[in-house]
Amino acid sequence: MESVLFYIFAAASVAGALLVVFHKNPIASALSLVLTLFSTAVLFIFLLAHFVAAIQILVYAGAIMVLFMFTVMFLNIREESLKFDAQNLPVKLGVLLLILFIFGYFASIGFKKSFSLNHAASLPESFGTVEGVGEVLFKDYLLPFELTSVLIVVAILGVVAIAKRGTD
Amino acid sequence: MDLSELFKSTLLIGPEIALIITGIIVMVVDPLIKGERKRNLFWIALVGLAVGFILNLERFHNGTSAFSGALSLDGFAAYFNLIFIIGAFLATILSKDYIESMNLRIGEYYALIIFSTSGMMILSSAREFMSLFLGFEIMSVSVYVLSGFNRRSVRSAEAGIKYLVLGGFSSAILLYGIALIYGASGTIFLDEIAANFNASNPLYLAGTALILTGFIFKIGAFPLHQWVPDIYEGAPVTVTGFMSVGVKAAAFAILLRVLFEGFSGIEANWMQALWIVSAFTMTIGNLAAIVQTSIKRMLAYSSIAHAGYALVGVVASYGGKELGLSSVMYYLFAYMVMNLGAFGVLAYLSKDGKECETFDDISGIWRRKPLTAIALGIFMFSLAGIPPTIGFFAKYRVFLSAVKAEFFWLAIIGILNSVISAYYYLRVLVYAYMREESVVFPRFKPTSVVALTILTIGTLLLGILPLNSWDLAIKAAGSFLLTFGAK
Repeated sequence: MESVLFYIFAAASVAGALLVVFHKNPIASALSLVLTLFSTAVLFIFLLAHFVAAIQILVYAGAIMVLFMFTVMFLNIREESLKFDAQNLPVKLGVLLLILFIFGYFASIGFKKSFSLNHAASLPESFGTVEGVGEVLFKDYLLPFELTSVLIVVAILGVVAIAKRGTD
Repeated sequence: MDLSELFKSTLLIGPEIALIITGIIVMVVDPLIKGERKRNLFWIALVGLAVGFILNLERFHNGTSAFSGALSLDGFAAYFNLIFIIGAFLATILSKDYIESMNLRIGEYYALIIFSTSGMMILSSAREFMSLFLGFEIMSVSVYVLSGFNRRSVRSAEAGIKYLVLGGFSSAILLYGIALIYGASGTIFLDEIAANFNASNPLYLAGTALILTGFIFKIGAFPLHQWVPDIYEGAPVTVTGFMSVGVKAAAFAILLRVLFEGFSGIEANWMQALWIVSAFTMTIGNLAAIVQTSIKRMLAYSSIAHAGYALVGVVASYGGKELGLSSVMYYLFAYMVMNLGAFGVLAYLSKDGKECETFDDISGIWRRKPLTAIALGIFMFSLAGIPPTIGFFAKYRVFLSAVKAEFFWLAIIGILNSVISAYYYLRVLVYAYMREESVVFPRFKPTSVVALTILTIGTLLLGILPLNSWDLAIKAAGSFLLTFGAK
């Protein structure tokens, strides 16, 4: 049951990602991204990371996507400027799939090797819950957590510096 | 990790915190004051950097680690922090006149320089991939904005967008590599990765290659050097000076740490890769620099070539050799002094919204501004590696370490390249000393002169008496090797 659901959502997330890249209409592309993000969130649930899954849907599929949609609508892109270059499409797709296949092949060997080492320890009781995530975030990874806030401050400062009109 | 340990660790990262707080103060005070008084933010920035500098000196004596090994506060990190802070300090002084005459936003400019420096400092001591990546991004995002800072210039805006897109792409590649390494080893700490390293596992190889790619992009080495000339040319000249020394040194710091501490399991592989990268980087950088008609672009290609020379030292420290490591560190320090000086002269000669960038803009400065011409001459001699300047000594150490580590061919390619490079550095002096002037030079700028004087004296003095600064590099390299117990 779980593996069937896994394949369904994994396929949906890959299909969504491909649509983002290949769809002509930017709005449809943005909406396909929702599909990808939603399916990834489901995959997180399979990994017992419920909190991350909820955040993924709230933040990415919710807030960030709204932002994307606004930007796309503001930019007001004309259809013909986005003409998809259909020349040699089969060749391009073929090369893409070949690269994906080779990569997937080696990655699967790699992961098999890694997990035969059996360093995946048994999960703690609170894994994936809000409590567990909070514990890890504010104790073990306090430094990266605080650095993220610095990064966001820098990003905001940068946006203001670039977007604000006038010099004074 | 319990709370008292977290508290202790927080106290240990004083220099980083000092810079971040300074950045926030500059950012918050900026909108509160108006007009001319904004120029005083300059002093806040300088004081903050000086405090960071003093707090950082402590780390040379007692290296420790903080946040259960996520940051290694050793002499190695302290030495690189010295490069970043001195670089940022002098770049700030050089920028004062420039940003005021170009009418750029003062508060955001200083704040971004300081934030970028704090990111570099995190990067130089990071031993864990999450802090590493965040430091990398704090540094990069600030520099993206700074390169597009002059909004009235189309080329500056172009540089900003190009750097953002390409830099974002390279960060994604780096992150992908980190994800693969994490997937294979189950940890993000460099020492644990080294302990689990299994060279027959393709995930480790792919991860190493991708991480290396991300760093090579930031260093600006072949084959990912194409962005350097466009962005260095388009960005405001003081920003170019700052990022050519700071970002490059930070990328080298993290390259050394990740390669030697994390990926020593496949040392022979990445050593060979870097051998090739280094040889091509030097050659392509130098050959392309010869044909440039803009000094700024020429210096951009020259910075590619210098990244190649520094990579010679990285290859020569193969096997954890102290001489090679310290030569890279010393080279980056020397490059900071002389390259910041060269860009500083260009900033000094810019006026009224027009940058000094072509050869015509500097022709004949000897007649009008002899002291500036002498400073420019010293920096060019130093970049070309002519004694008695710091550039000669640094290059000598790098090639010596390559010969001692028996990389004879790499040393020969490097020396041949230095000979080629003399041509285009000296061409600048031909224009400066032997041609008639064709433009009106700007008036005397007191603040920039201070920084240029410091840099000129540093270039000469450390070239004549290099021993103290060199000992510091040796000690720092030794402390780096101690942290992960190499031979």
